[in-house]
Amino acid sequence: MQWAKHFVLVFFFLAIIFGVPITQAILDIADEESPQILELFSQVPTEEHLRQFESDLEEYSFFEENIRPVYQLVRYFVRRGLGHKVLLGREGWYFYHPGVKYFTQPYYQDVAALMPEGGDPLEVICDFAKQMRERGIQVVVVPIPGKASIYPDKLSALVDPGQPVHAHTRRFTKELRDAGVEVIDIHDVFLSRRAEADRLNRPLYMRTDTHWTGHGVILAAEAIAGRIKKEFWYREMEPPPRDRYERIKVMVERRGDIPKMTKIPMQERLFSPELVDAYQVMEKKSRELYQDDPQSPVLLLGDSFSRVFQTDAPKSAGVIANLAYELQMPITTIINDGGASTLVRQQLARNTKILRGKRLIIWEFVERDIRFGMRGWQPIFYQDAPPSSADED
Amino acid sequence: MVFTSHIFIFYFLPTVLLTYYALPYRLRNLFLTFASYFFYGWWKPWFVTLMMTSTLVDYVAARVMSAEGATPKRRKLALIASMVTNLGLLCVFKYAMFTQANINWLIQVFGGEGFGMLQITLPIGISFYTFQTMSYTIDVYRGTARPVKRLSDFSCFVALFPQLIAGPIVRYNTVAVQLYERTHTMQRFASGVSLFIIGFAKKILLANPVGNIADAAFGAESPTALVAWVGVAAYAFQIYFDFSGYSDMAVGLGRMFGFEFIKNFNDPYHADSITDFWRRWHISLSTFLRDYLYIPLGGNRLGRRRTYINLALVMLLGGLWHGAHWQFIVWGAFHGLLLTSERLLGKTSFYGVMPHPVRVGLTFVLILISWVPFRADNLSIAVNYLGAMFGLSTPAAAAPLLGGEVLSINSLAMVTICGLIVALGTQAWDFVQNITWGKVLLSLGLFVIAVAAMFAQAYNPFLYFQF
Repeated sequence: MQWAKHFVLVFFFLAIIFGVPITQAILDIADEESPQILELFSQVPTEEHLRQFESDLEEYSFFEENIRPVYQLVRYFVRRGLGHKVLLGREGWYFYHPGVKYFTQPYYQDVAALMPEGGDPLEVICDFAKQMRERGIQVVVVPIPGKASIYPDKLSALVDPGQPVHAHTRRFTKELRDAGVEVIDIHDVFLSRRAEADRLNRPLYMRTDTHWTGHGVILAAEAIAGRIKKEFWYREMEPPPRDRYERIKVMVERRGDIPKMTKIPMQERLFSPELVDAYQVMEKKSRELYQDDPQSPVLLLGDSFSRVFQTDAPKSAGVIANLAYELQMPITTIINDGGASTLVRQQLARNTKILRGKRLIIWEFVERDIRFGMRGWQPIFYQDAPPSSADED
Repeated sequence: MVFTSHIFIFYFLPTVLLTYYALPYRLRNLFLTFASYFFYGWWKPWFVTLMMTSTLVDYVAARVMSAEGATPKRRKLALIASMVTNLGLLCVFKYAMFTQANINWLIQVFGGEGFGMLQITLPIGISFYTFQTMSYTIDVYRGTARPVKRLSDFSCFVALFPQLIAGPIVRYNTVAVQLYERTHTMQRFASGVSLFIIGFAKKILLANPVGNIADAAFGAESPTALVAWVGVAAYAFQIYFDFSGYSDMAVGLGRMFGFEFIKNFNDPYHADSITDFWRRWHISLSTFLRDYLYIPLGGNRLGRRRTYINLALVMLLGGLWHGAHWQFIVWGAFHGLLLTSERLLGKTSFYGVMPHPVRVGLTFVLILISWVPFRADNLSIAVNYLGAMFGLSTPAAAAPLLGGEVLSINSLAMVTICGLIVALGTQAWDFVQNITWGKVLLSLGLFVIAVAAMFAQAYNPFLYFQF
């Protein structure tokens, strides 16, 4: 009888470890492909090839592809497991993990290992501002508060609502200002309006999304516009910008980006969409939705915080359109999801013509990108930039 | 190659098992050697040559020592050649950068510029296989082991993939007979399968999730005291389930191929003193250090004072064996200090008069404190972390946010589950002694769940790979 127990254990163990590769090979052949394992022998076994082979083996495994979602679903039901990218907050709020790590881990300059790829963001921003200044263009930096900055209490009961946790961004802002770069700090605006927003049940950020709501968009647009309106060229524009745009409140049903990060299947059933207020901007005369203007004296470089509601539903209701509404003039934009640290500047470097006639660059990026920006902070040298309007003056 | 990977479980292991059992007995060691080189070379192919060098030198050294008419001088020279090769490899690949960084620091203190830093990649498992091969030449030199005849058998001993990367440290004496003659039975294979599965589940289902909690706490700028304690407890469970899981898998794989390795863990968190802890934790290392360092240094035979010095020295070097960083030296020194103090008190702790559960609890707290320098990235972080644990540092502005991660219901539940498993004291080794139908079902169920979890986890190598 003891033999039977041993046999069953060994038999099923071997059935699993042999069954997976044999089934995979059969499926590969059925798809008229050679078994994946044979690729191992088709290349010189260098370290790089071996890593790539192993990675491909996992990525294209029938079993991994089909079992992983089931496991993720079970994990979600058993212990609300959401994977390594997402943190479960309180009262139905979800947080993007790197956005929290940015606050809880040391400031990037204090630990060498935390320095972003490419270089020190402080130096890169100063260099960019300098290069633009040489072209007669002023750069204003806007670090956007991450959700955990404004709603830390929705992640941890140990934090009071509105308690400031963004010490790193404050330090970064101070260092930028000390280096002569202008910064619009909108954290205080958001934190001071949080209580009122709670009372009116108008959250500034979405529960299941990393981004702000239409109310948050308007706060940011007002703060940025307030700064731009101080520019002499704006005040002296002829004809003065007014009566061009109007704004209407729309409700939009939005599925947050955070559930997608969990990769749990059946998300539509597990995570209900949110009804969010957004403010859509349109031309008063034509009733056409707001459109960028490449001739504008203002260029906005930004990330998904500029894209949200702007190019996705309901469209023209993001910070770009609302900034245009506040200014009553269109702006030029280069936006890239997660890419405000480097990718937008690379896009600008590929098309420096866009700088023609520019007076001001508003550069927004979510604060976590100081450490986690996509492709880090690569220094970029702008060659052959055409003269700006200031030069022409 | 990592045991907890798709390529190992579903391609390497079945291929090696199938071929091994299809081959005639006399070719199996040779085959295992090549399979082990393939396993080791998967990470960085050229590092296999280092292992081959160490193997060849020790094989020749032992042959020279045991050759007919070998003079004592020749025997000693052969031993020295073996020591120089193995310790030389360790010094170059493990300690050169550390030494250079410290020399540079000294030069900079005196106003100099220092040298350009060397960039050397540490070959994984080098600390384990060099110790194993050295144990062989030392045993042959001492006359406590007979030299192996065939290079293929010796290569198999050195490279044997189940225990190659992270132990247990297998001494030649313990497997010498098995290299020539080992039995393959269904019972041994089944107990190997069960041990392998338990080790695999420990790593995937316990060590990795609880490791995320430890990472969050240790990565924090300045955590609150509660977060710091939960974090270090999480790390204590992570390193235990990770390392003992690897050892279980190694022993289990060994049994599948007919080998029997030593038990490397024996319920270490139930130790009631630090002396007791070292009888239960990484047993193959502590016995190695005892037999090849402590006793040759004189052990306890040269008076009390010398005994204390030997104990402290062995623990200090034990710390350094774990890695070329000051925090490992501090960790070793801390354990050396505690062991010496217990020896001073007559092999009991300063809390030895307390009831057993209190002694176990206090020992666990001391172990937790010792894990701080072991886990921290550098000494400064370790000091800050200890300060946080004892409320001596001001938590960072965002420290309460960590509560949402480290003190979440999920995290606390995970730490509690690990704690309960440890408290139950069930050891994998004992679990597989008598396989029942319930254990068959449990083992197979755990395997399926752990494999599914492995598919959903990011790459997560064993902690002891870095040593």
